[in-house]
Amino acid sequence: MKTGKLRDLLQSTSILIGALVLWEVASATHLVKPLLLPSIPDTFSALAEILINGNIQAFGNVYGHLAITIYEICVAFAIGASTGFVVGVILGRSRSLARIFEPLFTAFYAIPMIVFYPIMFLFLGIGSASKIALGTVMAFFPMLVNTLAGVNQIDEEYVLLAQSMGATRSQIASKVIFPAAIGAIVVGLRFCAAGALIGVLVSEMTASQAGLGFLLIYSADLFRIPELYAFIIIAMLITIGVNKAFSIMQKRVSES
Amino acid sequence: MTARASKGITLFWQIIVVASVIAGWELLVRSGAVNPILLASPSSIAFGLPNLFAATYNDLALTLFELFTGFALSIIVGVIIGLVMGTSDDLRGALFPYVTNVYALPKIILFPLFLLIFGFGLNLNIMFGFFHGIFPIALNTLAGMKQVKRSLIYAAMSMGVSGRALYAKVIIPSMMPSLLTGFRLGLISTLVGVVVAEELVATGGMGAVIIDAAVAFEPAKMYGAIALTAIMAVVVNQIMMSLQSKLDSWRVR
Repeated sequence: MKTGKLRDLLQSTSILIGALVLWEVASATHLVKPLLLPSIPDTFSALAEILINGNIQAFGNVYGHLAITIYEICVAFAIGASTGFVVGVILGRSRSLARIFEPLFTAFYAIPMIVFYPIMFLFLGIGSASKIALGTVMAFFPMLVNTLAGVNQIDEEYVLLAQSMGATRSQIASKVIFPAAIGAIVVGLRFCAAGALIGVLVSEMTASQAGLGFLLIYSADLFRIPELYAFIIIAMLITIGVNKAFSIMQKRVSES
Repeated sequence: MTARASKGITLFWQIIVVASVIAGWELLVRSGAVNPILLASPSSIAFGLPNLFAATYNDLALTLFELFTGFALSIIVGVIIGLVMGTSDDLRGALFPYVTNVYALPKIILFPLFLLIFGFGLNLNIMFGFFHGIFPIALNTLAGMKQVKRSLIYAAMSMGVSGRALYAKVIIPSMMPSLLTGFRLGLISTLVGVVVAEELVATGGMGAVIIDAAVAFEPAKMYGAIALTAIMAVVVNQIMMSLQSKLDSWRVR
């Protein structure tokens, strides 16, 4: 078991190293145009300059942009997670409501949410509010779906048992339903965070003057390719960090 | 109460919910509570749809073409990746972390790279859709291979079934539910990729129509185009869902 894991790690690391070598060879030999693929040293010196200096010509204060994006993601996540959770619990506890609303939500879920961004833009303007709105919508649905699934999988006998022993509604919610659904809820939170992240970044790329999404699209517009790669790396690191945090949370929850 | 009667009641309430949302929206605009420049009324959107459909027919066709080309590519590549990971433990160990990590990545951050590589236009939209579609298909193909029961394979083999027949009669039918789920999720994801690309570069397709109308400040057209795109997405998804239940109805549970 342990050696299997080690071997997997070795294999995936060797793929990573292979990809990096391929990257460097491809850019050094100009197999791929430097316009598409800057060399690794160029990319990482751009990244270092961005992170150390903070202030890059044509882009302004990068940390300011990052702070805006993180603020928007956090607000969208908070609103999307709480509303998705509440609606999920309500639908999960009422079979007839779920039967009515679940197909409607499933149908709605198939629509690429980005098509609604221009409406948000029209109402809320170019600033953070319209980004938070799209992020919230994209965070809401995964939270709702997973909370609903978690609440639905509860054995009804536990609820009946608690009721027969005189538990109140709030006691049943906190002592029976919540502990049983927590696993699915944490999964929901993870997808909820991913939704908020995508919604905020997409809307920043569509129309904005600030944020990481703006930096990504603007650096491509200006053909500042090493900076573009650096911004992509920063965005990846943020995503990986968020994912890691949630998978640690998931492990904690499933262990307890 | 019979199942059919309760189904009818559910449908009745669904219609009530949708109708009251639309009625409330109409009232909001009619009463002047919301500026009609910002929010077109449902009736004006509905009346404008035939004209809009005639005017944007080409864009709708383009979006559908991009969607299905990207989807076909992601089925081919996604299924191959899934099968490769499912057959070889070594390759799965090596590839799986990358596939899941890229799947978890907001693919939108790689859009500027796609823009640089494919330039503006058709290829960009198709390739970005394809990139969205591969992952759910590959992961669900892999999940499907794990669902194939060893005992079924051994039973078939002991009865002399092998090679192509084993795949056609045992392995692929067993994988069907996961495969179809993967295809449906892949189709939705491909549509996301296509529409996002269309909106971001606005060279053609429904995403471009929406953005152009928003930029030109034509709310009626913008709402109509959003409605058309949404209807298209819902219809495509419903077709996939009914296909899924039809192809899977023979299964004994």
